[in-house]
Amino acid sequence: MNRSWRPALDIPAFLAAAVLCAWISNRAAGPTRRLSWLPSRPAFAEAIPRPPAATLPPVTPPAPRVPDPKPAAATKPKTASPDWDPATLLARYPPLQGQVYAEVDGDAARWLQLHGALLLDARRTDVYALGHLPGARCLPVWEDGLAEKIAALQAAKADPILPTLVYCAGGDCEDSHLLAQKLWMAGFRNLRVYTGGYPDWAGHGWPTAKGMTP
Amino acid sequence: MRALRFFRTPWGVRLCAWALGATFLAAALPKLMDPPGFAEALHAYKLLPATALAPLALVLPWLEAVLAVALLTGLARRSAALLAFLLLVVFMGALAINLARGNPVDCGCFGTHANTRGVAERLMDMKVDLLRDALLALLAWAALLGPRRTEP
Repeated sequence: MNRSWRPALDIPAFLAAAVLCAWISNRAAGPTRRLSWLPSRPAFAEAIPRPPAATLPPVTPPAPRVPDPKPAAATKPKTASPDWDPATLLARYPPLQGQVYAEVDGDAARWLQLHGALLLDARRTDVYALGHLPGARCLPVWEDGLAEKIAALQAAKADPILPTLVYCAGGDCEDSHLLAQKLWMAGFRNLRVYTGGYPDWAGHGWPTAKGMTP
Repeated sequence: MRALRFFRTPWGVRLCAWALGATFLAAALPKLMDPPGFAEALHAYKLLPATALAPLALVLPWLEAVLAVALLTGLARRSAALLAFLLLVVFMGALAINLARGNPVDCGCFGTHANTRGVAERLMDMKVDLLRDALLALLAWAALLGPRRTEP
C-alpha cells in the first residue's frame, strides 16, 4: 500500500495499454463488430451520363398524397419490382437541388419500395437480419466497410439520380441521415430519408424480409 | 464523521478500489463486445467531432478495463484511481451538458440498449446516471487519497 506514487509514469502506461488492446481487438473483431479508426470517406463517383437537364421532369415537390398501395401488396415480388420505371420514379421524385436529402413518410416509402427504388438500411447488421424492408440492402453506417459497400453500389451501376430511400430505426435515430450525408458525398443526388424507419413500416403491416438477403 | 474514517483505513481503501474496479469492468465488457454500438452512443452526445468518435469508442472501453484490472489488483492503485476520477468527471460533464440541452441520450455507460422509453423518462435516467457517477467519483477519491498515514 505504501508503494510510491508515479502518476506521470502510470497514466501514460494505462493509455498505451488501452490503445494497444483496442488495436489488437479491433483487428481480431468480425466485420460487424469492427470500427474503422478514421471516418470512412466514400469515393465520389460521377453521375451516370444522361440526357440534358431539360429533358428531365420539372423539379416539383413530391406529391404528398399517395394512393394506398395495400391491395397490390399481396402479389408483389420481393425484388425486381415489375413497376420499376425510372421515368415514373423521377416524375414523382426528381433529383434534389440545394439540399442533401429530403425526409419522407411511410406512404412515400411504400410507394418507392413498390416502384423499385434503391432501398438502403442504415441500421446494424444483426438488426437488419431480424427484419427489413423487402429489397433493402444492408449498409450499417457505424460498421467498418461502409465505403466499400457504397463503392459496390456504384460498381453495380446504382443510378445516383434516381430516388434512393434510406431508413433506420425511426424515433431519434440519426443513422439514416448520416448515411444520406455519406451517400451525398459519394455523388448521390436524390436521397430520401424515411423518418419513421423500420418501426413505422412494420407498424403499417407492410411486408418485410428477414435474413441477410435483400 | 467516525464512520468516514473507515474510508481512510487500508481495508476501506481496498474495498472502495474493488467496488470501483468491478463497476468499471462491468461497464467495459459490453462496450468491448460492440464498439460500433458505443460509437453510435457517443455520437448521440453531440460533443465530439466525427473523427474522434471511432478512436474513442475503441480505446475508452479498454481504458476502463485496464483501470479495472489495476484497481482490482492494487497495482498502481492511486494512479488508476486518479484517472478513473478524471474520467468520471468527464462522463458527468457530458451527461450534464446534454441534460442542460434537454437532449435525451442513452448513457452508453454499460453498453447500448434499444431506446423505447419516452423523452422525460430518459432525461430522468440521465439524472440517475449522474448521481451514480458522482458516487463512483467518491469511491475513486477515497482510493486516490489512500489510507491515512500513521505518524511515527
